[in-house]
Amino acid sequence: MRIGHAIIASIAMALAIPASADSTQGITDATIVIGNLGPFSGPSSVFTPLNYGPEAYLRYINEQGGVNGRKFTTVFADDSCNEAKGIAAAKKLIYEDKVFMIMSNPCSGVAMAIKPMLVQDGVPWIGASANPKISRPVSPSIFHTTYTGIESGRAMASFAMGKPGTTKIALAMHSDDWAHGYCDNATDYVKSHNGEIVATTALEHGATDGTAQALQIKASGAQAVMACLYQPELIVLLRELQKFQINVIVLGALGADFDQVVQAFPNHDYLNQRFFQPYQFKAKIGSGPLKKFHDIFVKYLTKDELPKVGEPTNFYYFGVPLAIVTVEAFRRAGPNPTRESWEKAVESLKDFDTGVLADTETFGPDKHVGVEKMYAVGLNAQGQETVYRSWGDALADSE
Amino acid sequence: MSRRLFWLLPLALLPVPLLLNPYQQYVLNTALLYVPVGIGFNLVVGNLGLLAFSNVAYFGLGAYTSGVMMVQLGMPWWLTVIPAALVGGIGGAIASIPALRGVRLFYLAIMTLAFGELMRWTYIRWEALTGGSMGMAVPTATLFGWALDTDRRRFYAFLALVVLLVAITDRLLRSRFGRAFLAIKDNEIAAAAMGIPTDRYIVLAFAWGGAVVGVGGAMFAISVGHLTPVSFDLTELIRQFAIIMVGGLASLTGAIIGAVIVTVAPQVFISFPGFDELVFGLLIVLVILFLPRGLASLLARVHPAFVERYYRG
Repeated sequence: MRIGHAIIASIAMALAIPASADSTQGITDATIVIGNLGPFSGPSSVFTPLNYGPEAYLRYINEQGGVNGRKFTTVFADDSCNEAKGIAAAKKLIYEDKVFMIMSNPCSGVAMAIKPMLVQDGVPWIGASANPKISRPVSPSIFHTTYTGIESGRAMASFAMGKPGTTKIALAMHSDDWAHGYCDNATDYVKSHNGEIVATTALEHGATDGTAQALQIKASGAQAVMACLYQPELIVLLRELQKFQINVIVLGALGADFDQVVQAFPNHDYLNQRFFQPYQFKAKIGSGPLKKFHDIFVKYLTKDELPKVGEPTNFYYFGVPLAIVTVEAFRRAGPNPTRESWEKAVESLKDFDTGVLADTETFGPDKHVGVEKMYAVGLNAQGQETVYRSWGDALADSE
Repeated sequence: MSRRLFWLLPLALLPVPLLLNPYQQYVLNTALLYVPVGIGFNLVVGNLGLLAFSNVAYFGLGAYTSGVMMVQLGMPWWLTVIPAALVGGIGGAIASIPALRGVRLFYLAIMTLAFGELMRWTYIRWEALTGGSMGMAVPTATLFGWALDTDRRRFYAFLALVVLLVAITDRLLRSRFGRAFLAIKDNEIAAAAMGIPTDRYIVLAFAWGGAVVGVGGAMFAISVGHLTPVSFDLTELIRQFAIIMVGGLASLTGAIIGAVIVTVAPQVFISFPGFDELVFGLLIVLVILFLPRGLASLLARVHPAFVERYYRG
């Protein structure tokens, strides 16, 4: 009986003790511990530069002395873009590594899966996932400093339909939440601007042939294609469109690196004034105001964290605003930051220029997605990379 | 040491949540929910000896049945567990059809693999019910009105279910059904010649396996709280296959050991990105090379109580 009573008592105790995280967790006199959650392994590890970009900026800030005397310490955790693994990784960051906040998870499924836990425990999350439902409706601790699928999808469609007479749009997409995050919002924009979706074709991960998809697009009479595809499949589709000389403009989503896509075509004449992507940045990659960040990446990231070949790609730059906003919010939160004061500090940002993105960051109690305006990038008639405000309206190199 | 002492293990686990933080508790819960997944897979591949790879389909069917009934019908979780088992079981029975037509080996593997992919496609396309590729949020589970809103609370519900499923499956395997499975595995033609209705037992093994995995799916739904089709892809199937390969084919103990190892091992290396895949792959290779009957066979060498004899004699 005694054993039975002891067991019952232990269960009752186990059920009675609530799990909680305090609002200054991760803050010491000398450090601020940040969790960096991302797909460091598996098929989605192509997105890890989104995690390394902000890390480079935090190391740069550390070298400047940190914020209010505290330096940032990062704990990395791998979610492989898998919900179950992501929940475990996030719980480890929160309850074992005792991080203050979680930064930079490009995987929407994982972000949606961990969101209830973050909201319940009041753990700040600042990220670059495409799913707009992560930060809409507003949750106190969840912030998007980069564009969600709504902004990107609209930018894709509005740029394509900005070409005079373009109303017939085809969708080429993966069957996953990431692709829907872009293409569903592009579809909404097309339909609300008197356009028509004339074809929807699926191209799954790992596909190496897109003949059927290209011919379906041709048969539909589409004038533009919203290609909500990751980089390898986007290249496959573009090759097939080129092979059949199909005269459509193609808007890629943010799952592909523009430069790398172009490099996959040794003779890229076909791509001139035909292939575009929404563009998040205020200048060309690595030039103008972005040169500073190029230098930060090269100086503060290790050989393993930098690209094996070539310069840091746009994913590195896309991740940086997460760290810039995080650091600015710590500055504004003062010498004794708590999770609540840090969140208030983010909400206080108005027209805050990250120096990276095309738009300035504006948050508020009812607005937790900081940016809206996007540009587009493509090759002009001479094959030179050009940033456009809208169809035919190119940014000057000096801008 | 009597095998009955094994049943003290769940009792010993009861106070464990007191020692764990929410992260460790979640990992333990995940290991628990993968026990029925391993048991169901093992029934067909291990006990029946058929190379069928539709396990992830039953897992998804159970998860989505539970999730959809909670979201669309507002049912409490505990009322969705039996329907999840039923739908998983029906899925298993359907997946057994090629086997009944005499399809075996790699051909059966490919056909059942296709069934799993077909189900994933269904989750994506049936948006109204499943939320499509954006997924569906699963509400907080309740058990007789009591909210299972923490991993600790879910642990006790999971433990009770796992004990129940292990006990029933153990009884099944020790009955004439289990002996029939073994006979079919050893020599299907000889089993049929001896009057064993092989078709009936094949359907039963697939259906019970599907039902058990379906319950694991219902547990997964509330543990993760957000279902997306990506959770039921080929990577997940490989993880589930690893459970029975590492733990041990045709072994209940193996399913338990495999579930624990496959769940815990990646956590050990979570801070070393990509390293877990390497270690995981190496573990599978080593087990197949040196312990073809899995880690459970090591225990059997240690003590005869761990030897699982699902036959008389």
